[in-house]
Amino acid sequence: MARLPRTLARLVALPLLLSPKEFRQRFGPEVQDAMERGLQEADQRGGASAMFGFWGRGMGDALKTAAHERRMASGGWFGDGNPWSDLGGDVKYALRGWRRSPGFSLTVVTTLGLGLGLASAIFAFADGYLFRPLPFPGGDRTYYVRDPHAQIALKASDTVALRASAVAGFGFVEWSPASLGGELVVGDRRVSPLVYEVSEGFRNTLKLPLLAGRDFAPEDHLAGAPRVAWLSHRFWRREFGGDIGALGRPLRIERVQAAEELRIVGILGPEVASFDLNNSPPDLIAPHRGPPQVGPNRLSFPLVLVPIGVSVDQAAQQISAALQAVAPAADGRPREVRLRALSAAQTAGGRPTAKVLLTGALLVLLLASMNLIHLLLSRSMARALEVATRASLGASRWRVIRVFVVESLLLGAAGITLGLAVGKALSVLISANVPQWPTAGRNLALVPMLFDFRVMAFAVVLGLAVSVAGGLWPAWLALRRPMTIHQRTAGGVNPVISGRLSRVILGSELTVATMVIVGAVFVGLGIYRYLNQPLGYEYKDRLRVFVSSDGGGPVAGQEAGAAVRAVRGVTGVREAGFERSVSRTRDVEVVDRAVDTKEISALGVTAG
Amino acid sequence: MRKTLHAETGLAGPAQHIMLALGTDALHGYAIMQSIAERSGGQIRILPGTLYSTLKKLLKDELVEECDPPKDADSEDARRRYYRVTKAGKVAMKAQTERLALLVKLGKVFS
Repeated sequence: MARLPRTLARLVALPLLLSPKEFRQRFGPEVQDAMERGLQEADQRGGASAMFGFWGRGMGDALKTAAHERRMASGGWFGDGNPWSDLGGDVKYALRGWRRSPGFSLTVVTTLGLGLGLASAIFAFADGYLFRPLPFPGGDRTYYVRDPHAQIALKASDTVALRASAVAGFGFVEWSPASLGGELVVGDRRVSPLVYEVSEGFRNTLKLPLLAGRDFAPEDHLAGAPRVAWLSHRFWRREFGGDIGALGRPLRIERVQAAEELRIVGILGPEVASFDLNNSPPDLIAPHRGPPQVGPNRLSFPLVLVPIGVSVDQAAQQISAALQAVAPAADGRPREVRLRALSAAQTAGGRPTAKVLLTGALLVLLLASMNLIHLLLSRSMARALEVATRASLGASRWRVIRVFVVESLLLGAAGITLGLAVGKALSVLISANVPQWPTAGRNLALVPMLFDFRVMAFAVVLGLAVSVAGGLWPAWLALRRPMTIHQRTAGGVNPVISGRLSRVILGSELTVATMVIVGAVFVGLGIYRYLNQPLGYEYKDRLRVFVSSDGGGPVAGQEAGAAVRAVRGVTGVREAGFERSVSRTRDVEVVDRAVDTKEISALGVTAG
Repeated sequence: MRKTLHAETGLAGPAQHIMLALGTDALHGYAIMQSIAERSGGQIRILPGTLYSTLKKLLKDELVEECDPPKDADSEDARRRYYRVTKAGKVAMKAQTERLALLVKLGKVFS
């Protein structure tokens, strides 16, 4: 039995193998002796269980000690025990480095700034199409109601009937183009705003974010009620300079017959532009006044909010059943509706563009990041002597790494700041140049660009990741081979990588950095040209004239033809003809917006 | 508080107990372990790994030194070495004891 404690005590040599040789040789036999004595004493005191208990604790303690001694022998991660001591010294050292090599610092900051700026601006565009939910509660439960037999829409009479049916709670609200019938006087300017109307209770279904002001009241929808409207965020910024005093301000609508007052009661938030895929976003949103128009050929694009707990299929079945009950088909076919998600309708057109642009921007950022890291790597080669000196003076690994990381983070902070400024400027530029009408079958104006907290967080996280990587990688390499890349000769310390080669590497990296900058400029130009590709005609110079009968329905062909001829006679009109329209009303396209709309209005038709 | 004491004197945890166990005597490692356990009524036990790691640091800081075995030493084991507190160690422990005494005095408000 006396041999067992000795045998067990000898096993303590195993964990001690992890400790430095010096410690093992100096204290190993003593540790073994103390273990043996302790085991014997435990055996006498409490038998085998006490002995094995002591042995287990002793082995664990020896393992912990071995690890501790190994860490201490290598200088320890934190050297003096405080990982943050003299952090200010590292910051000052990094700033002095900027002064010593301003070209290098400027290149790094510019490369990171441009890469981040481009990526964040493109992210601001792509976020709305790819990641951001619709900016109102229940956006994922909002659907367009479609009649599969009519391909795209319901009849207006169907919508009106559904509002009074068993599924009226779903909403069936509408967002449809309208006209003021004249020009709006803003200060000393006259503008022709694009106007959309919303049906009563629109915000009960789609709670659009209002920057300021109030919802439309039921009395605002009455026929003959005083005109009120919300300003779109874009129109408010453009025409009112973002002045909140625009709220409540009465404006005058100039018409040939009689002027009318319009009062601004709300300002729409920047998150919403429009819900109409086929036209430009509105400048004003007004309540539809009077009873809904339900002509035989009038179509409707109602929106519903499906209640929580009701599936899309269930909602479609319930609406179909209600429609069958209130408006059965004349030919006896069962009425049927399909629902299309509003979010899909809003983003489907812009998604491919957003994906392509975001991928391109991230690739540019990746290239910029790699180049930046290579710049820092090549610089760390040149600083190998400095690292070796620090290490030989007793600097811990952490202190050496910290110098690199602090320098990289400072450069990163400057790059991120520049990136945010560039990103904001680019986003404003892109936003101002995104076509406000459908281009190549896509309407990129449906989802506004927002350079907000999300985008800034995206840029900061990316910038910090690049900065940390750009600090850690060179530091790690420098730590691994501070001595191996140097050989001591009679003439002193000569780096294996010569100063000339270092300069060549640095020069090539600067060249790549310049190429990245030039590439970013070209990508920017490409985006600009993509968003402004010619349509074959100047959309802005076109004017739409609505010709309708007194009852609101379509006019006969002869009557419309006469209207076209009359419009052609107006001063400034180069050409006029019919436009194909889903609404089947007789729209006349006028090729020159410079004409005086009063002259066209005087013909008894509506110019918008 | 422990961190402050450590920073001021370089003595904390196992180091203090080892110094107190040594006192004015010369002891080998296992005797130090036994002394600590006896003095604390078995509440504090230091295991061999921690003991010798701490002794190594105390030797390096010159608070403890290796010495010849006392005349009445009962073992001939060649592995066994003896240690005693140096003058610097006594000064450090005196200062530490005074600080702890002050702490005990101040701490009476809680008793």
